[in-house]
Amino acid sequence: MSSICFQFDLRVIRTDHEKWVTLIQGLCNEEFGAYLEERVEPFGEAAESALADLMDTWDKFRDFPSFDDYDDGENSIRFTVSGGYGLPEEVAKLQQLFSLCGAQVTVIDQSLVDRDDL
Amino acid sequence: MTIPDLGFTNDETWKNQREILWAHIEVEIKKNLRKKELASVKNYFFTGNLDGGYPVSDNSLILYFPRQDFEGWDYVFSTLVKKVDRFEHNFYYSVYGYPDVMPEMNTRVLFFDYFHAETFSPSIRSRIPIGKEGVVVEINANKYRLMGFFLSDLVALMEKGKETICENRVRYFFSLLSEFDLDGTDKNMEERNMRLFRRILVQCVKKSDPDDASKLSFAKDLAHFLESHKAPQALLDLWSEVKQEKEVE
Repeated sequence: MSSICFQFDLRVIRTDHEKWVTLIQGLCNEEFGAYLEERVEPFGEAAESALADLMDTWDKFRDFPSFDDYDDGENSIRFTVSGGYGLPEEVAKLQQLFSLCGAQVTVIDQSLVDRDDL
Repeated sequence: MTIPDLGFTNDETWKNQREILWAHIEVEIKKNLRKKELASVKNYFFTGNLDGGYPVSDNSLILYFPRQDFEGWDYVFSTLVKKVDRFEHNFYYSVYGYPDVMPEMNTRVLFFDYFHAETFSPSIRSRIPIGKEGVVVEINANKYRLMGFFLSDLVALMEKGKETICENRVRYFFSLLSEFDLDGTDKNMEERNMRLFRRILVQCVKKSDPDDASKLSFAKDLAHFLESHKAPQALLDLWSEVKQEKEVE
């Protein structure tokens, strides 16, 4: 695997589950702009501000990471994020964003797991 | 260059039609543009004004200007567009014609005519100086690349009945086709074009659908062009091969 890849596991409150499904599925469908802003809005101002910061980073790198392998469990949502050299910074900001939206976030550096498998 | 008359943007009927078009466009551009950028693009789309506070990309400036005609594009290319390469980019992409933004075929044909002469010419100059640098752009057209655009569209016509620029500019297409050859300049492009050509020719020898007049008419014109032996050898060989395969079936 040439690109860097992280696996996200989000534990979310049941009442917010639908909002999370729309948000994460949207990212997997490459809906990053105003769609994403609209979907983060219900989680409050702190989350909106974290998203603005993340979007500034995307603007800086002039690229979006790739969201894949979406898996929806009863109380958790899993997916992977892969991208180029700017990804570690973006992953840290994604982690902060999702936490501010009320999720318990676990991130595993999948690239390291892949290397260990070799 | 002074801004062309945009008085029609105050017309309620025009605004209502524009709203319908915007709804289609917004679905796609919302994926990448942030709310504040989207608001600037929307303001430009409806008024032609760039006072929304955030920059609008060059291609959006070209495609979303309220006035979609030669006068409008002259103004946009000479006054608003920043990068000179947008002229050459749209020289090729005008073959597809952006149906999402230009739903009417007449506008798409006009956009094609803005960049192309009546028949294919390998050398094209922009009508006006372009971009910040204010230079008259000269294009040395890559005929293989241009042909690739036409062939992709023609495959869509022959296999799916899509409306294409080509049907409206048949003379241009055949003038480009008469220059089609395989000289090894760009092997990948040549191979891709031949694969697309094969798909088109297979449709031409198939029992035609009598309801699809455009497809039938184009298939007839193409067959005539190939049978009249004005066609380059590579195409004649491919045509014989496809016809032979049909006979064997």
